[in-house]
Amino acid sequence: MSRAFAGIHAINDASFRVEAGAVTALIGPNGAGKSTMCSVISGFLRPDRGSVLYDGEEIVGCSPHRLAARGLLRTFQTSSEFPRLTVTENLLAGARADRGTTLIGALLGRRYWIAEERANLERARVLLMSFELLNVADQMAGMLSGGQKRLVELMRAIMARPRFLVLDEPLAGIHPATVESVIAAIQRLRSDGVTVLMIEHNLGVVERICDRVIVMANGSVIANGRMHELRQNPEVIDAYFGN
Amino acid sequence: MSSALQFYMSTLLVYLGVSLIACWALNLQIGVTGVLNLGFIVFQALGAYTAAVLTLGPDTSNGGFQHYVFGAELPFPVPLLAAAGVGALASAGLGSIGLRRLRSDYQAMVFLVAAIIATDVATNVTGLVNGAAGLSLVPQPLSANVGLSPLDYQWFYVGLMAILCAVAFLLIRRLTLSPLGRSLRAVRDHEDAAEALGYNVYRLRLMVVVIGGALAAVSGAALVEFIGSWGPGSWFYQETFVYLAAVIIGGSGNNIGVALGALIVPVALNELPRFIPDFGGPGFVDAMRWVVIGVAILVFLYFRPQGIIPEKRNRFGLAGTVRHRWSGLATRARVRLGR
Amino acid sequence: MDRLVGAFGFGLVTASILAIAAVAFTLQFGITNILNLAFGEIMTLCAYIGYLLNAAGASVWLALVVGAVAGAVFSALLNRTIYALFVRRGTALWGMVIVTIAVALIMQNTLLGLAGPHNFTYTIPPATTFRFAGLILTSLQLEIIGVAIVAMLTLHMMLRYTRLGKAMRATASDPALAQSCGINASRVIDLVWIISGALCGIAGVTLVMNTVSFTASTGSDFLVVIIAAAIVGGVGAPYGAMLGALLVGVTSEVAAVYVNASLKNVFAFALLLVVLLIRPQGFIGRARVAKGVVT
Repeated sequence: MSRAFAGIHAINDASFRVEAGAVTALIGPNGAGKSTMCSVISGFLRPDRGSVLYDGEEIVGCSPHRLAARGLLRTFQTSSEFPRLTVTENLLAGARADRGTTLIGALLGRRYWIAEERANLERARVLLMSFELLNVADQMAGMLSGGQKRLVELMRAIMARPRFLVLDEPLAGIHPATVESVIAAIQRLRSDGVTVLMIEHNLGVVERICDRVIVMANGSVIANGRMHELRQNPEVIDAYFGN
Repeated sequence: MSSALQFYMSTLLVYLGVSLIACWALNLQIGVTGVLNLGFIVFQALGAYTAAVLTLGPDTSNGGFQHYVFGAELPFPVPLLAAAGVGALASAGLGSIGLRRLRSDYQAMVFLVAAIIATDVATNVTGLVNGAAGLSLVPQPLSANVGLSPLDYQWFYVGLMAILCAVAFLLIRRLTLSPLGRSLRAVRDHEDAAEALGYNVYRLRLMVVVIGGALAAVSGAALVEFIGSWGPGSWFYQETFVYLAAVIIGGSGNNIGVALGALIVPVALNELPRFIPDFGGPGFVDAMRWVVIGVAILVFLYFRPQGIIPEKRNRFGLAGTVRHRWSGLATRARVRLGR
Repeated sequence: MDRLVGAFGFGLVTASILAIAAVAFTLQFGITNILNLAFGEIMTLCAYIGYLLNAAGASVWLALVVGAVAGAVFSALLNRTIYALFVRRGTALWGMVIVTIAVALIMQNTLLGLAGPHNFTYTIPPATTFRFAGLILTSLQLEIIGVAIVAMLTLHMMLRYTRLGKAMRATASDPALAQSCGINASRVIDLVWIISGALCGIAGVTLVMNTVSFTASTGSDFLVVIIAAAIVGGVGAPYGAMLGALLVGVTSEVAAVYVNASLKNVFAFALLLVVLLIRPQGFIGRARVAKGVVT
């Protein structure tokens, strides 16, 4: 039934399932293994043992770029914009450009790939507008503020048309006034049928936008369910809410 | 202009052409993609040797005083094209090992070691390309057919060089202006983020190493066909740093800046010692030339790492003040996509 | 057979010198993340200082000690002045490689310009020859092996059992974390440069003690083998570098006897390529992720 899902047995035998089309939060205290989990899912780290299933297929050992081509995108915890590319170029770099990014296509010249580029540029414009970043569209991404860089990275991932998007603390460092636009973007992604797994510390936000919550501590999954259920779970309270 | 001066100027122009092609190729690797190919000079050398042995004829010719492999006497553009092919193949071979799952600074080490080893092989395996003595008496292309005086032939060769440079420039320009060029710069700026967006970083790096290798080989072939001789002394591994300095000083990532760098470092700085009196002990001036190159690299990396003409920022004008000329909106300023 | 054993003996001497150098090179890289391509030039500089002393009548052993001190002082100064300057300026990993290349060019050619393109020769009293089990080694060669063993053991003790060793390993894996645990990272880094610089100086002088004469480019020529040994062992792994040095040293000397002495570096490179194909991270090294440079 589920079209896109990921099940994982890694870290300390942590195991969970992400429901297709839902927004799932991955929470837990620092050092719980959340970021490691992101890297394992997206192919950047190889688990010592265990498996990750995506679309029902084993993806351990798949390189990150292959997974990205299959719609599994991720963002990073630290800002990872392309600093010497402009904001617009960062976004365009995220978009698929099957004609212009091949060697033959590039050598055939502008006429060959311009239509595709125009379409991507229009998408970039719409996205920039929704995040109110049009005014910095032509600035070098490296010159932006920390929060703006995070937004660029999010937009870049959205440009890649993900089916399963792993966000590593998308709200960290974002200006409070902009938080709403990130939330709106995530909700828009969900209504487009994108599966989202996000690491997030702000439980208020988690409660508002996430359908399910996975709690990790010390490399293990200690709970998995809806936010209001978890609030009753003594183990979770002890590991997370307690202190 | 006196004919001596004309000889000198035309020779300089040919050197400039060779440096231009080499610097653009190295810039594609280092400046655009961030592949620190410290063994660049090997591919230039390989192209030169290939062109030389394919022009010289069998090694029994000229009284058989030099020994080399694959001797043949092929008509003009063929040795040049063959050099490009050999350069591409060799760089694909080295790149496929050296670029694999290694950090970019390890990759630099592998290329550097390969360059030093290659000199060892060429010098000590005498039957390969005539060892330490190198190859000489390589006939100049078409010199028998065009029937020009030596001086006119010089200018004829400058013309050939200009055509080669134009082709190389257009090729590299198309690459760097395209979405592919943007992908390459993305790889340079953040390798993991590029990988996460679906770019096969290894393949992209290998691609520029191969293209750069082929162009480097062409530059070497064009040089040897002109000067007629080539040996291990012509491509000591440190020669890569001359081109590297040109790229850094001119403006890495900017093809025009790099062209300026090619004029300043490999041409002007190499020629300058001719015009100053020899001082110090034997080899002192030459040693000081390297010191100057080293100091210039440090000074630029510190005070102006972007070079004399920095990489251009591509404005798309989405904000509306500057409209891109094909963004479908009114054009107020003409801004081209890419550079 | 005799030839093989003899070559093995030479290989051990080369491997000893190589081990000192490769461990130092890999230590610099593993802890500070600076790929110091001026390493060979510092070796040459120390060998040259040793030569000046030796020519003035001092024994090679005094030259060795002074060479070690010179290497330590010069390396630490190089890091504190030039390298730190660029790191503060925001030059990244990749740019630092170019900085070290420029420093190497300047050093090598300054020496070449000032001292001239000569072969400098150490005056070493004639050595007695020892034979056992087919190995033929001079007392000097045995002493070089001894120096290497002492150096490696000292380094091992230091890395394993001292606070400094632990601090070094902690700084290597995460400088920021080490700092927050109360480790004075910049002091650790200084000590790394001093220790590795001393080893670099020792390697430079012993290299010339073994080959007797040298030129301005001797150190940078040797750097190829150092890099090969370091990568074979796993860059950043001191014990890997020792193993790599042994493999590369013996392979190249055996190849020198059986194939062609001038091609021995080629075999070191072939070994490097094979290792890169099978195990890109080297024998002992782990796959490392790029981090910032620390000075």
